[in-house]
Amino acid sequence: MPASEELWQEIAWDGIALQLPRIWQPTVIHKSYLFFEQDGQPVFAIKWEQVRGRFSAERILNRLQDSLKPLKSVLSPWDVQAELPEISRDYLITGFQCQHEFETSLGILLFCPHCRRATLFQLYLTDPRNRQILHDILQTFIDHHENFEQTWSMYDIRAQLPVQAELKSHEFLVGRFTLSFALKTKTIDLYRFKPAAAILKNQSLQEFGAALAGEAIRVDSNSDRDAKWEYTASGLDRLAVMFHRKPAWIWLQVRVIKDKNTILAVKGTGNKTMDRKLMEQIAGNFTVTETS
Amino acid sequence: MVVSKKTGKALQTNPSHSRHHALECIPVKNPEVSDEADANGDIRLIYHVQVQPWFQGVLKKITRNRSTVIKRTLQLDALGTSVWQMIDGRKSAGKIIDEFQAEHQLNRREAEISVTAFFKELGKRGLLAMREEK
Repeated sequence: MPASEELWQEIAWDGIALQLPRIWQPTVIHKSYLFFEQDGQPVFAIKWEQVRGRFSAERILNRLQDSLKPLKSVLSPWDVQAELPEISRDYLITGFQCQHEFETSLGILLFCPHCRRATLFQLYLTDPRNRQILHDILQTFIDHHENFEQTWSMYDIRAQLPVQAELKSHEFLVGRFTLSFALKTKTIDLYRFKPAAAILKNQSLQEFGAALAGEAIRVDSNSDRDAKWEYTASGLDRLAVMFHRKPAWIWLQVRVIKDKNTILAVKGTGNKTMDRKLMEQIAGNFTVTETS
Repeated sequence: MVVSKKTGKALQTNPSHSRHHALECIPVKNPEVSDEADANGDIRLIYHVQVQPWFQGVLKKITRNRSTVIKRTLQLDALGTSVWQMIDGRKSAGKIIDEFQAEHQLNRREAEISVTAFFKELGKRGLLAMREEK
């Protein structure tokens, strides 16, 4: 575990989780690939995939070498076991160096026989002193879950969703983050809006939430900290929403976290209702962490 | 690293230098621009633009105004107002981003993207220039 948690951030994305230095900013976020920069320079990348059939490190590295051909980059072996002997023995580990035209990166390929996931790490800091960082990162790396929940943590948002929830889309725009998940036949959207003070300057939280709520009707008190909306179509309404391809069930909770200047919203939609307790649990676990 | 689409060769770039250099520049307001606050405290920028020669004739017929200069306004939102108020001709772009980040509790990347996009937009309209620190 890193010495000072203030200097580290938790990254948890699509089944993997690890701690990285807080000054590393995620700049490319795909479903199974993350790229980090420090002061505008590449610093770290991680890519992972589920292995079907027999695992071969050589085959994966050959694929990487082919993809690097246009950049005239060359891969060479790196004895990771000799330099980082304390890395967990739970994994099959292969080290490599990647010589690009203007820079060099260190790489590690991990394969977990338990969950059959192969993960490729690339560190663009080649100073030998920085190998300790790689060691610290690998010590925090998790690629499978023992319980029924999976953590999602990126920038300053953190959520816990059922393992079955599959990320469908994500957007990290300035002031508005959106993560959209499919859970069976339902859709769960997580939103983070910032800065709350500016957004709520000329409107109430209820007015702001109403724009997200669609057909749903507000169901709770006049609290200025949170608001809820629900809608379940029945009878003829149900036929009407099906005809217009609108959801027959909507659940929305919007809440403002004043000390973090943030608005968080969780929205569930689908053609059938979902357990309200589960939605409340997801909303309760959706939080804001320290801003980096 | 940037790769040429035509040749497939890597082009030598130094993004850190240009980014670092850009953040050290000092944004300076155009002295011809005036501002006024509305009822919500948000600022409205008022500036004048020279009418294109081909448009002058049309404008003259419609408004019977012989002036070749027209008044334009730009309404800023709360965030734009806070950045505009931070521009004092002494603070660098990087310093303004730091202050903006702290004031609105944004992450560094969010603050940098929004402030630089705002500077770019004002620069396109000629309301702001960037001065290099000697």
